[in-house]
Amino acid sequence: MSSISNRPGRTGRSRWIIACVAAAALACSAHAQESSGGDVPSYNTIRTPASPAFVLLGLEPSSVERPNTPADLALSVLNATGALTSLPQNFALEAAPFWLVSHPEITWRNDAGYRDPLTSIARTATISVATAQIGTTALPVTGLSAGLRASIFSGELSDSTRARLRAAEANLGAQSGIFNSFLATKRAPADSALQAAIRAANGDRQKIDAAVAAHEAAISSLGAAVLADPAYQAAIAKEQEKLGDLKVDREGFFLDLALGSSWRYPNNQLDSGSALRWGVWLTPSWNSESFSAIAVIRYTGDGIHAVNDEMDLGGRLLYSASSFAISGEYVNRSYPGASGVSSKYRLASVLDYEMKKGIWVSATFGRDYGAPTGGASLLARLGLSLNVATSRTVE
Amino acid sequence: MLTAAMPISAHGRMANQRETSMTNQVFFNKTQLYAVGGASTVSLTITIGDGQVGGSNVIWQGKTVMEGAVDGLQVGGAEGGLTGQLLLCTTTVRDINAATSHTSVTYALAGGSTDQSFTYSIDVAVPGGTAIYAVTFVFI
Repeated sequence: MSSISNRPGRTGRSRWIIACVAAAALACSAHAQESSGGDVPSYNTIRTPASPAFVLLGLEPSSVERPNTPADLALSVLNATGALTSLPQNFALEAAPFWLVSHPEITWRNDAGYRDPLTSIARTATISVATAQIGTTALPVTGLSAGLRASIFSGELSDSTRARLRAAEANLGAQSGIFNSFLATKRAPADSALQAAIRAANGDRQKIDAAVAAHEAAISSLGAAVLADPAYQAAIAKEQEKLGDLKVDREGFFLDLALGSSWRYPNNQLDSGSALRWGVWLTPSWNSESFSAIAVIRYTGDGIHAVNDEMDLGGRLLYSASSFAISGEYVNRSYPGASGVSSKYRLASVLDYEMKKGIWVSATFGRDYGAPTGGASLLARLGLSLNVATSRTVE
Repeated sequence: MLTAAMPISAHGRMANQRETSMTNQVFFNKTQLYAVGGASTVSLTITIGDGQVGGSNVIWQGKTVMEGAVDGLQVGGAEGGLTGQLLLCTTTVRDINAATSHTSVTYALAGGSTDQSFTYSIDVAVPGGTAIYAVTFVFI
């Protein structure tokens, strides 16, 4: 791993960024003229999509329902479908069935090692459902898609993650101690009253239960007062700062599977539905803290014209350090449903650089597939991304 | 601010509890009876579930006797025995499981009349948030 001193300084970094922006401005212009389109081959596009349903409809929904309990899930479905009377409109839902209920028996320690395939599938499976309007005002068409994603193998916690979590236990113990120190003097009268009431109850269960309820009520309001205390909040903020982001990384062998299908419903009529697209993704990979090797097998079928079916086979190598990542990708695309159309390939390299914490610039250069019956196209793009993800994903 | 969620115990019973949400912290408290019989010591193990990480601070007779992970902590030695004494357990759980906002803590007490486990659950308010459990065991 590179040390900080080997990286460009402030002046060098600025020059690098300016050079990239200038190069990308030229390259993007060339790309717009020569390329028939295609996604930037960023790290995530070669992996199985987290939500296959969204990919098959070509959606990047700004709002996704992520129910956390079976009741939340039922409510989301009922709300979206008008109590099961209609197709939902512009609806996106993602849920991890296993985690809809609490699992007190699963600790980070007993989930740290390799999981057997059934356990891995259960703990990583997510379902996604989406609908969108894909027609016109004159001919409204509702698109509906559903997908499933799971990891058949999902690696194990990295040594550095295990060390961080052990340190976190001590830190969170200290945070508990801070909470107790703020609560201690306030709770003493309530504790004494409880002990006195239990002694006086002389085994009378009703009186004991009443004393317990009174104690719970007292601690509840005292605890709320501690949480609202600015001095407590300042003390906790210091401990939380020491704890940092607590990113949990699994490493080793992964085998991710995703599949999904989509349908179109002209005039929003359920009985007029027909298949639109379907897809299967299989990505074996080996991930360590700084290196990843990923292979991809991807088949996307067109429910209307089989000539549009595409099969991708390829892989990607990625090396990452704390503030940059560099990768190379090769994917061969064939068209199993179209006779006489030769396969094409994409060869690309991507450089991601963290300009500032959470702000990444991504430069891509290479050769893209181009249209099935056309020539290859230049692939050159520059992108900026803000890594402020707060949504939940399953690893 | 009171939250609407009602956590349940692992045994499916609605626990008598209150919650308070403040910034990224939620608070749960419970006062729980535990029959010690004639035992002079009991042991306590605290397990953090749902793949989350947590640490505890345990107070016995006004003093912190354990901080961090708690596994088989022996508690006892009180003058006049354990009956009537309080064991104060505070556990802070940090949400690190990207798949869920559930947190759960199981307090297992052994050595009394019967070995018993008490499981409590609460959801964090935001991804990466924390849940504070304040559980008072009353030895009877």
